[in-house]
Amino acid sequence: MTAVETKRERFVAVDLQKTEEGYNVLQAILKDNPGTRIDEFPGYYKVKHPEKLIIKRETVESFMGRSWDTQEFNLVIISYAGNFAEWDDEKILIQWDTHM
Amino acid sequence: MAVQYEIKQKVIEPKRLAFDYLLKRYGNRQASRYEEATVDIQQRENFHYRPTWREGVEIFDVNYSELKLTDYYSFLDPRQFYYYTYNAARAKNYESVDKYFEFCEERGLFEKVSDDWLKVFNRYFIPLRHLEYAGWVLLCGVARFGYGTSITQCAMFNACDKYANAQLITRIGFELPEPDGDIFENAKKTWLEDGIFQPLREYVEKLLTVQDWGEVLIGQNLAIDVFINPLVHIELDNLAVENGVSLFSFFSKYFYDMYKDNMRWTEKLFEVLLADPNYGEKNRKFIESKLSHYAGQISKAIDEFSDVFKMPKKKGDFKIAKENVLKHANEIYGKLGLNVKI
Amino acid sequence: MAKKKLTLAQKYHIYTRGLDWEPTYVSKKDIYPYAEYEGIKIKDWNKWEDPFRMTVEAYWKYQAEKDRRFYAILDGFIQNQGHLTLSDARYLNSIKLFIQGVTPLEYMAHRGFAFVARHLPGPGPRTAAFFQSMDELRHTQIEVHAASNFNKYYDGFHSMTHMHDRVWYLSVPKSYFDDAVTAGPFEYITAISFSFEYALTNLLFVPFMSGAAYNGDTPTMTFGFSAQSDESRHMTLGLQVVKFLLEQHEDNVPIIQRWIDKWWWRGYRLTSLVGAMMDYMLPKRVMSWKESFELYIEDQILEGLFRDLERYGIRPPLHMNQSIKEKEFLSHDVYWILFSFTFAAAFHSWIPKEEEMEWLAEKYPRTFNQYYRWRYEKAKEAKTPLPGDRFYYIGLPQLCQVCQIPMGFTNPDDPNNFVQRYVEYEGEIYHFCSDGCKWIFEQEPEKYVQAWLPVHEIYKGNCFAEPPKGPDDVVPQVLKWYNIQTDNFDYFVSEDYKNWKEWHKDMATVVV
Repeated sequence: MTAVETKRERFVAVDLQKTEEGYNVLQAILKDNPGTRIDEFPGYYKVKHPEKLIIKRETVESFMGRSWDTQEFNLVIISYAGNFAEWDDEKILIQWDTHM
Repeated sequence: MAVQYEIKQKVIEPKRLAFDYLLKRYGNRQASRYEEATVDIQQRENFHYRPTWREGVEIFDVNYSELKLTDYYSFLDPRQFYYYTYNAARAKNYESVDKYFEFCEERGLFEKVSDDWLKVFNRYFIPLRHLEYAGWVLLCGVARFGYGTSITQCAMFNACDKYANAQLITRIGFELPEPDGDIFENAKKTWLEDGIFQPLREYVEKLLTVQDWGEVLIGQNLAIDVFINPLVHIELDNLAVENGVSLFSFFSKYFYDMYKDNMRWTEKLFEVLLADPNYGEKNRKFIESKLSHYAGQISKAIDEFSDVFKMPKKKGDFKIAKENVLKHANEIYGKLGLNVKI
Repeated sequence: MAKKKLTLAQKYHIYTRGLDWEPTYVSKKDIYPYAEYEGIKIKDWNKWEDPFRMTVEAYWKYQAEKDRRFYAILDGFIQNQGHLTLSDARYLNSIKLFIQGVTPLEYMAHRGFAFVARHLPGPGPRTAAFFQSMDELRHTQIEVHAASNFNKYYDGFHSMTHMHDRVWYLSVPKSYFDDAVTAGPFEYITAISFSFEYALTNLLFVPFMSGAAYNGDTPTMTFGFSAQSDESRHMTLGLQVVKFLLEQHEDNVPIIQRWIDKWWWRGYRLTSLVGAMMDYMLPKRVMSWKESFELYIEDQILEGLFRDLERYGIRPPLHMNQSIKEKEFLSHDVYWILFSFTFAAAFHSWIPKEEEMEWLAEKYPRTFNQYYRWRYEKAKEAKTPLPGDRFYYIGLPQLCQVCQIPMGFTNPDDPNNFVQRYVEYEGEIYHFCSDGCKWIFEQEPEKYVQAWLPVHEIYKGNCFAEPPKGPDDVVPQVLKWYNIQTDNFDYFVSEDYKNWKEWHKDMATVVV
């Protein structure tokens, strides 16, 4: 019998495209979410945080140098782990354990 | 270190020009992106399980409708819409709507609509969001149960247009002053209770129980749309202009263009259904009998709107408006060579 | 007459659910006849929270922009003859499997979500299902368009829809989605939005697509990531649906649990094909099946999602532990099956190169050298009369009645043996590759006995272009019926390989 080795951790994550816009969003996430870790893969970044990730419109705009609609997040996100606890005009919040 | 090849000037002859099933249909030529995205895409045989929600049918089944085609891909969308071209066309079109809203907001035009007209408008126009919504539900059904991607794809985009119409009516509603309370609650009450909408609502609710997708298209695209669009977006819009309100004409044109655009595929589909070498005559009988019923019903239903024509300061002549609408409908039915008694 | 201030959520509510009304001229049941037979109880559809607030106009705008980017990249790739700069033409065999196996599922998902949009009586989730139906049509079409260019130069791409309906290994994905769309609207949305989208598509669309990028296939990477960006919405829908159903009525909990149990295993077996693609068919590899499984399933799904669902009385899927046990076996078993039957497949396989075996041994230190390497060493010697100078399993395999994969799954508790299970039902014996598939059969035997099993159908004589002239003509007539031309056999005797060498022979090699 083969033993199964599993080292598990709990985190929330977003997978972002490696594009100019994706990079700017990534910078905004790093600024607003201390403790964020990044795994790099061909074509995408995996951005992880043990508790939550917040993406703020204002911060993204400061990196982009233009106005940015939070709906534009749709253009850079590939995938995520967690819940979209909030998604409004100002911010997007991803975390576990949110309930209706 | 990675190895890369430097491509010298060299063009490689393709081994084949298109997918095999397209070569079989169209001969040895390259296929358009519309054809690639559409033709023979739907699964057709060896389904593993039967639906648990309905007896005696396959997952995709020509028997979901009385209307049949020998080759379902003998119908192709004259607009050649596939997902990208559809969305790009609609996104571009909607830019002008956004600009128009901006313009009206900047000039405060929505607030300047006279209270008198607003009463008329809120009665006949805003409740139509429910009618458009029902059209969305119905066309989603066609998108599921229709046969062949060329047909169901058109229904899907048409459904999307319907939902967009419902939301555009809503967006207009958001901009309007609310002299008598919540504009949408009032509109729903009008839709549910006001006499002008009851025959229409009854018609729609009954259509929502119809399972045959061909019949749904007859009831929705060849009847509701053909009567309601000219009535609302031409006749009633003319009445608005006569009463000094030209603000909504832009939207009426937009809605009417959307209607005309969807009639392009609808008319083409019915043309093909009527011309089918094997099923053409059977199709004709079904279409003519159903359409006589539905067109007759909808024609009666809109008579209730005569009340709306009496509301504004400068009253309209419903009789003339109705004649125009009937003329429009008969033109379309005549073009298809249909013998329809309204 | 000041306009009232509304929050985004209130506004969206009016844009979507405000449109619905209670019918009075007909009964609601006649409009939505399929809403009750599954036993799901809904007390109040208004408790539904819209997970994202997408209007049609916003949808048009962002989706048109996504597609504009995709088609620009695709056109550039075509103009530059980008296929010549792929890592190796072997890579394309994974894309052949994708196009034949997955793309038609995207299409079925499109129609399935149109069903939900039509027949779920709740306007909130219905709206989300509608957008998803649109998205799935998009995925079908961008994938077909990406494949179109490869089809011009390589085998295996020419008949994906035709093959999906007929070819033996494609009955694995086909039966999966046929199962879902023949279920009721609530099971469908749980199966696809939750179990598949939330739990499994990540494996398909993230590490595998990263692999496409690594192998120089930008159109595939672009459609993969771009499709997956829609999946983010779909995942949100899936999670929201399941939580909503669980909160609506306690009687829903066991039903949902049963569906989660079923659809985990069903989807996991389907995704095993991706395991083989990732570990064996990508010349340049990003991560192994096992690593992706640990990241996307064990961390994100088990540690994340299912801990979140505990409070509803939902536990992880019944056969999850078996999936975990299998993670060092699965991709090897499945590639070996594909490898053995490549004479009847519309893709090529090959014996992994020595450095690839080293990689496999490193990634799977407890299994590859122990249980799998020898098979390929033998395969080099065990020659058959078929092209390719190596082993094929000449014969037809026994298929699992549920997942329809040939019964070749190693028992992790006894790695020298395959798992074989059976059930007797109404006087017939049915075979299964696993406890998971057997359990699924037992829940709904009347459904799974209907399966169109490719091998059975060949024996019944339903899969011949023309009646075979003798025993030697059986396979050729099946292949003709499949429309398999020069798409099969070992890669190193393929036209793809011959052409690839030819195209690259007078190209300068630049080392960077």
